[in-house]
Amino acid sequence: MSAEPSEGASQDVRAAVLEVLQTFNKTSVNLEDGTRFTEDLNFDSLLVMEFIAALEDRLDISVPLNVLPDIETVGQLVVATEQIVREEYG
Amino acid sequence: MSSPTPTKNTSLPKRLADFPTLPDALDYAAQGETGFNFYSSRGHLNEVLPFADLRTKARDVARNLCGAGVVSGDRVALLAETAPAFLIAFFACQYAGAIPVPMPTPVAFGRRDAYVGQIRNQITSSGAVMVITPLEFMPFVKEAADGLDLLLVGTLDDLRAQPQADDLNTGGPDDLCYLQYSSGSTRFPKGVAVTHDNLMANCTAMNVAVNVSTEDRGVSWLPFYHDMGLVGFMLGCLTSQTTVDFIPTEEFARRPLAWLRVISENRGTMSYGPSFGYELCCRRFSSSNAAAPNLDLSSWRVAGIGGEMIKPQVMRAFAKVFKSCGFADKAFNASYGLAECVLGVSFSTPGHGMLLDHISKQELGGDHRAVPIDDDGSGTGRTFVACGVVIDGHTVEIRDDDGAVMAERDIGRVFFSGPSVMQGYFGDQEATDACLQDGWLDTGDLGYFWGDQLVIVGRSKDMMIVNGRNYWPQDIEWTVEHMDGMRSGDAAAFTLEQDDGSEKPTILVQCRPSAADIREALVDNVRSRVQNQVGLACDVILVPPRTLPKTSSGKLARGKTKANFLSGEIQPLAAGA
Repeated sequence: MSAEPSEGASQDVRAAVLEVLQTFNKTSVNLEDGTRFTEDLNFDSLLVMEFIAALEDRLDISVPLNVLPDIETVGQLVVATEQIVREEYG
Repeated sequence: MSSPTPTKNTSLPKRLADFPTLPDALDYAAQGETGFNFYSSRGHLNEVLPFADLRTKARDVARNLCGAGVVSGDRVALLAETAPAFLIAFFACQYAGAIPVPMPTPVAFGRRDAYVGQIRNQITSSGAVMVITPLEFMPFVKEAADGLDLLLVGTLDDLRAQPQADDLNTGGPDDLCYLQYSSGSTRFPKGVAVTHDNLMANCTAMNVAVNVSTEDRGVSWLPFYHDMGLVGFMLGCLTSQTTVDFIPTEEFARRPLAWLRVISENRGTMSYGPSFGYELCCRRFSSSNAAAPNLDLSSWRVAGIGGEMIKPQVMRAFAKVFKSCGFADKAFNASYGLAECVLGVSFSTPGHGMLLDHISKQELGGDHRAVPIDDDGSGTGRTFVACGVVIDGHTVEIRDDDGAVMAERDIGRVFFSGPSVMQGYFGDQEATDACLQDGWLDTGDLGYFWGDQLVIVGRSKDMMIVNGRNYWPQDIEWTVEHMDGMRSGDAAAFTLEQDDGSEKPTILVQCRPSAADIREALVDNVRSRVQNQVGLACDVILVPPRTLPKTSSGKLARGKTKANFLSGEIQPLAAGA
């Protein structure tokens, strides 16, 4: 079930990220651009990988490992994911 | 599409690590057809690296190392991705007489600074003269190496662009073979230094302990910057000419069932992991609500478990879920080891499954005796998994605090001696002397003998293992002590064992303010700071000033702190009293 990026792709990516993230949001934190993965969402390294796999499956992309250290917030993840979708689907 | 290397060599006789040095082992393995294969988590065979190719490529790059100015005994830091480039560079170091230092790859969201600091510490602690990294991690490595005087910070291709020397100068059996930084904290790193002799002794003993034969094929997702991945499945299999199918660790973490799929398709016979690796498979399998997966795990004869306290209920759950795929619980093989002994110390007998010992909690805590009782479900006992028999040619002693050897079922400190014991921590005589005397290594772990079975009841007093990852209390305490208003000695970190065998990370923090809101804010700040810097969610407990005990030299007495907390001698402050 992969999203077909076209017009409004950016909106689709944001929605997909939030949709997948919601299933991992065990602390029921309000998801905003500034929400932090480790501090606010309690993500440990294992959960990060589980979440990335779900996101990859949802969007049919491959998230490279080297983007992770620079991502601390939901907003940063959305931007990085948009970038990956653009690179993989043009 | 290329096919993976075969399980069997057509004519090359199997030799179990009876080589003087690692280059000799690869020279021999290169005469056969076996080798290493690299899979993605979606089951795709990405690359094939027969031992013959590995040897040719490594010898070629070794000339570049020498040409670039690397001399015998120099350390070369390598970012240890699960890919051929790392192995080529690792063995190039071997042929050039240089000492490779595998370093970790980043694994989590955020924490860029912590990661860069960690690899910088390893580069400086090892005194590396060069750093080789995959292109995608170059920005982190450049930052970590900033201002250091190095021959080269670059990719394997950058190294190949260096001039080539004519002569190679491989090391001898007494020379150091590699440094391993899986021991020691990120802030205060300790590099385990191992010679070719040490390595071969342990590889031979491990191969014998699990009866490795020409029928065997390894499958591994363990990282090369960890002892079980580097030695257990890379060096251990190479020195016995055994083919291995590798899945990158981060890919396993994303899609753990890929592990089982590769075992099934390639008829893998040996594969290891910590309990949590098995747990992850169960969890992902049950949440994927897939029909019974089309797997055949009947070839898997050694399903090794090690690296953290083994949780029997997790293993039973795995065996139950995958029984229909032909998995036999007799394949479970509990083992114990540590990088300071190269890797393996004890292994269970293959084909016997897990041996469980249910002992009384009362005597466990009080008299330090392992007294067996019936498991009546009353919660008065704890179940431990026996970690098998000590490897050939090596000795384990259980000693009391005065150094006297203890009787069977007495619980004490685990000491190890034999040809696998490391030379020491690289460039750190003080740390070496603290654990290594007269050829005996103090593992820091607690255990007892049950017949000839070694049972481990607690790993190193210091190291905290959560979800298979090692954390060091020093790193956590350092982080807390460097927050505003905190002083050195204000924090003590340790884990509290839960009944299910898991460990809960806990920090005691000395707190001076008495206002409720300030205390609450302090708990939140410490928690979030540690999570951000160390990547671990801890329970934060405030205690009165001057309650954390110190050693005579003024250092935090961490073991005593934990004991005093458990006994109630240290009482928590109410968050808002």
